[in-house]
Amino acid sequence: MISLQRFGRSARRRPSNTMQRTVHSALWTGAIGCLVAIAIAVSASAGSYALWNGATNVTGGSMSAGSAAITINGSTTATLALGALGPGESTTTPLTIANTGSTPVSLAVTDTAIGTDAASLAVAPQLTATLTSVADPTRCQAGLTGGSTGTLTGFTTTSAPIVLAKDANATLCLQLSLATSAPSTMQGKSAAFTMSLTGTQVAP
Amino acid sequence: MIRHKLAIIVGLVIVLTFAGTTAGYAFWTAPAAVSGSVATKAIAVTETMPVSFGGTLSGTTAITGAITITNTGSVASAFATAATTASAAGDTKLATAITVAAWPTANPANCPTSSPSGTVTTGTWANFPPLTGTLAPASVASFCVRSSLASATGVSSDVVTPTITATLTAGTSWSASAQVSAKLTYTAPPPSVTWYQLKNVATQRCVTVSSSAARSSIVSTDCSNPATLGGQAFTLGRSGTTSIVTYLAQALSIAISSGGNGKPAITAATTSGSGQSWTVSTTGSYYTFTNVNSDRCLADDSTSAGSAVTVDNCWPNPSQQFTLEPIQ
Repeated sequence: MISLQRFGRSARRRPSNTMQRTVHSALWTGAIGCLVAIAIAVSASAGSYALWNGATNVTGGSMSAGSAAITINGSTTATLALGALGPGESTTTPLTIANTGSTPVSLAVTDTAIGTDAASLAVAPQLTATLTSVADPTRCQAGLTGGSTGTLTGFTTTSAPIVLAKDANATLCLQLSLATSAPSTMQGKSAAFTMSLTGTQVAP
Repeated sequence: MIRHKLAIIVGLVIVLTFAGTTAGYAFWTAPAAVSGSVATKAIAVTETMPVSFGGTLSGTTAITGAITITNTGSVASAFATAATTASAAGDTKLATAITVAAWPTANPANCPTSSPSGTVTTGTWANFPPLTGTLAPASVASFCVRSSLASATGVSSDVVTPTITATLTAGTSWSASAQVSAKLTYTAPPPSVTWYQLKNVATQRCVTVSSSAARSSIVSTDCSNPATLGGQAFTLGRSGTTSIVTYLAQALSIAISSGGNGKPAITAATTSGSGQSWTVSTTGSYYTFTNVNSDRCLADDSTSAGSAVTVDNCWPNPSQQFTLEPIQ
């Protein structure tokens, strides 16, 4: 208050008492506002401020980290049994995806790798993969539409990802089709593949 | 003014303060994978002929056989047949004349000889429509195939070999074929032949072949009465310069082995050679035969039965004139 008065005296014009009170009031209001803002910010931040200490013992308490985990047909590395194909034919197999983690996840096929043998490399470009969500495994039959479709080589999902709640299951139907125009040289061969499915934690 | 500046300062402090205190999120991911192997099928076919559709055709008898097409591959396929027919004579007359009917059967080993049943595909061996259908792996399709020759007018003897090719297809590129074939023989009936006695005007004896062997002598003997089909029976083999074919050995005809008057006639295999070719001319009801090779005429100069028939310089004499007496 004293310094403010001195500051006021050094001004070229002597302010009136009314103006002086108004300035003082504004300054006090601003200062208090800043303090409140800082206090709120500090209380909302993730930082730790130990200006005041108080201690008490909590007995028997523990804290564990969450997790994201999925299985396909009960395993993280499932192996499929698929039927043989002729030109224009399709084979299907249901994939039961289980969210075994502690957080919701969205599902996506992020890559499909093809075997490096000559037969796999020859046949895979003639195969089309379709991955569609179905209500139950019995509905996983040839001719399904929707979902994501693409050549088996490098297949990834392009449709909206399926969000799987904690402890929930979903059934995806994988359909593989051999092109009607598959060359005659494709007879009696086989193509090995590995499809990578990733469950990504859904933002809270 | 001061109040405004203070308000701005306060606002900035608040904004900057809260901007620096937003929460940070690290998203967890969970991988899983499926592996598999997709096999491709194969296409293959066999075609068999449980009963041959080949044989010898006559004017009234049909030949009924069967074919069986088997899908020996692992992929369901469509099938279609195609027929091609080869001809020994090199033409399509017989193939065109043969009517073909095919119909499906469950018992290809026992196709009925009665009328076909079910869906019947008809055509000729020159143009036979395809038999079509689909076959699951390891399944068969059988058809009875009947050939008949309803009319052989203008058709010469021939042997045709129809080939039925069955082709399986899957998609636009996979195919497999198999085929069966059989021979169909048709022997045209011989043209109606009139056999004659060659009766010499001078001697009133008949030209006679002594045996059915080649190079047999030809002599003048008394004409048999009634005439029979034997050593005194001849016919003219072809128009223009002709052969004089003997009934006794129908592959033989009268020939002159060398030139010169008085050379005897013998039998020799019928060819177009000049030694056994004769030019036929007539004077009234009398016939004269001039040998093309020797330019001499067939003559009966004998004075008794059993003498040789020869050739001599042609002149208008009854010894070189003959009548043709039909043998009934």
